[in-house]
Amino acid sequence: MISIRTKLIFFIFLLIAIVDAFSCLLFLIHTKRQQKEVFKKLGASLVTLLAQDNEVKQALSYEQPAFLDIPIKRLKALDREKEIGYLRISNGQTVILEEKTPFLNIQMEELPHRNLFQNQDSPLYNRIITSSGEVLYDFSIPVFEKTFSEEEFAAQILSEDLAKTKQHVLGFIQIGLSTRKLNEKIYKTIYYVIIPTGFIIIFGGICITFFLRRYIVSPIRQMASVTLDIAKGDLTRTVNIRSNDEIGQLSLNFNKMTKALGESYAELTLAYDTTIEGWSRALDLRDKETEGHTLRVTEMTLKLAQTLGVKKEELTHIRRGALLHDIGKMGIPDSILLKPDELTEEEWQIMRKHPEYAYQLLSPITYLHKALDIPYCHHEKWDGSGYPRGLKGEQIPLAARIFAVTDVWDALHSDRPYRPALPKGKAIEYIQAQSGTHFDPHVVKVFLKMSW
Amino acid sequence: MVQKCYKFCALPIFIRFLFILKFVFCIQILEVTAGEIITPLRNTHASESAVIVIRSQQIAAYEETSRGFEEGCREKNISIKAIYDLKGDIEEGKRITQHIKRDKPNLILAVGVLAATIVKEQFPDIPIIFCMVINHERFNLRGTNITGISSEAPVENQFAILKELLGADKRVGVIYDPSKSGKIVSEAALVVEKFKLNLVKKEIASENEVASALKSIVKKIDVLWIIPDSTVVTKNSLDAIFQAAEKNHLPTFCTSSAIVKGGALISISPDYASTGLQASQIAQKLLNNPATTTLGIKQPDKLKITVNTTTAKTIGIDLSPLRSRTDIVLYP
Repeated sequence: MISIRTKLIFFIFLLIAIVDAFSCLLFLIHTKRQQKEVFKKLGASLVTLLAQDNEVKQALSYEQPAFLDIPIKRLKALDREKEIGYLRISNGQTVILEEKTPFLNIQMEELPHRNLFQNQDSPLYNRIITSSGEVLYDFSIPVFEKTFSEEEFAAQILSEDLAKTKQHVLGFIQIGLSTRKLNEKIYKTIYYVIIPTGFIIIFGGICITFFLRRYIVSPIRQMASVTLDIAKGDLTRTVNIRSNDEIGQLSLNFNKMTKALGESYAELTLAYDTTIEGWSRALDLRDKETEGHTLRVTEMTLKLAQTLGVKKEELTHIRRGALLHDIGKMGIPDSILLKPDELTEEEWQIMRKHPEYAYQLLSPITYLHKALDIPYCHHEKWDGSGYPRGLKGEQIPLAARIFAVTDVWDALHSDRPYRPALPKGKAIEYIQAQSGTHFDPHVVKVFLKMSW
Repeated sequence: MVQKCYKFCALPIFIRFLFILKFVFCIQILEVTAGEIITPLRNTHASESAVIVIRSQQIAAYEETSRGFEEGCREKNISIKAIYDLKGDIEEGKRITQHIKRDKPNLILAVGVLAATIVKEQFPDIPIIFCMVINHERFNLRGTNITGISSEAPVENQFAILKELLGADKRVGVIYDPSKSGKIVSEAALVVEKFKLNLVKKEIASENEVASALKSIVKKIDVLWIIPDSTVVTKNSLDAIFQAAEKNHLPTFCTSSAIVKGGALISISPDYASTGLQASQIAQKLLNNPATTTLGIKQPDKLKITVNTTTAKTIGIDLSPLRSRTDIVLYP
């Protein structure tokens, strides 16, 4: 059987794993996209800024690379994270300036030149993978002759031919941004944000599992074990109530049910036991046994059994058996049972059948099955000379062996029509003498140690 | 061109140098005849005054205007000391103004917005005439020493022609950037009622919105009015406008013959040479009357209508109502 806890942990972990994986993946994709967007914006702004720089325009119109020093210094100051991989400024035919960052392993020759543009207003960007494996984003923009935009507009409105009012291109600027920093940033996000987030989600899942276990699984498990005990007959067990929720309510109701069950069981047991006591009193009356013999013997048997370490559940059966020990005598005719004189051999034959009768009488009653030992076997003897089956030694049930001793002891202690009660010393002597023949020596030993 | 201009102005500087020498030598004569000399000086003021022309950049329209001005000046005996070209560059403009300051001109004609702006800032005491400034109301070009000639036909004239061609009860669509042409459009909104036309306005904030604005407006209008708004009128957007107009048989109407040559149906615009001529008349008035430093903003004297007959054929417009007019230029 797979326990609820296992199932719960398995499913919650599966769920968390899926949720975790998906959220981390989405977060990663989003971050990547956002970083790339920022990256593109940076490239576009840098290249546009350079293209609008007056000194760059002058450098291009006069083919003076030295004029570019200051604008490039300014550009590099803007590139705080050192993402610019290469830079190329050309005037269409000749390259005026070419520069690359030393840490990048690229050949300037393999980078494509850009000389034509469809859209003149926004920079063109391209992803380039060099033969050495470097990934770069190439941003290119044309540099136009410096004009005053209002005048440009005036020219457009006033000049005779619209098509002629095209700006004169001075040259082209190409900037390549290395993706190394971008990737570094993405990895940083993964290490410092996405992975911790994943762990937090997993931790949250563990907490949820723990609380579910604490408040749902554990009470259920406890209830299951209590139910098992109750099924075995122990109606005293109760479930601990730890919360005020549905589980708590269930526990409370469960305890109420157990209590009600226990009460009705106790009532029933009491009814049986009083019935049994009634029977035993009826027997005593018929048997004309000494007043209270059965009750006395029962008491003594229980005490002795307890001293011998018999279990509590067993004691109940021993008590019932002791109370009903002579029930078989119901089957003995009054002429024999109540005969004042010595019984003849035939009469003894009949008399010795009473354990058999007890067995026949009680065996159909399931409830008294375990109490049968005493009524059926209390006339067996340790040496096998007893009746009805002539059992020997430990073949005789312990309850019967115990009862045999107390029964004889009480008989010796009581007045009988044919003899007066024996004094205590004589009785002890008799019992001691019978140890090993009639009685179980161990039982006798324990019996004699006890003070009666 | 600049070098040519410098060559051209080298001679007057030399003359001026001689004049200063003469002035030093004749100081005694002046002292005696001061009262008598004033009048002849005044008479010669118009002919010998230092008038300078500054053009914003080198485009045909500006050259045409300045030629018209030169011609007018020649007739009126006003000598032009120099013509400068700023090449559309503010730095160049500043450099040239420093140079001009040494000339101490009596009057400056500024052609184009760049020239007008620089001159206004650098010469607060000299009478200035500006012209060829597109949508001049946008720029702060008013002042006690500033006279201007609008480069657009008055809105009323524009709508009058429109009504003449298409008839009354037409819906006139206009796409504009309120930050640039809000004033023109609100003025037009008042004028249209007079001509029994309806104005359908569509505001945009950037060049990229032109196509969608056009789409939303095109079914609701009978004619599209293209105003000189730099957000609306760009090379790309004009192509889009002309395509949509052709597809929907929509007449287009503007203030620039250049746009008509590009594909618009009709324009009403000042004649550039006439604007130059008008400027020379204003110059004469100002020079002859030093007490007057400004004549305010003038409307252009002479307007011309330009019609693109190809576009008219494509969208199926009957040009007969305009045939009788003399001021019409048919293109091509």
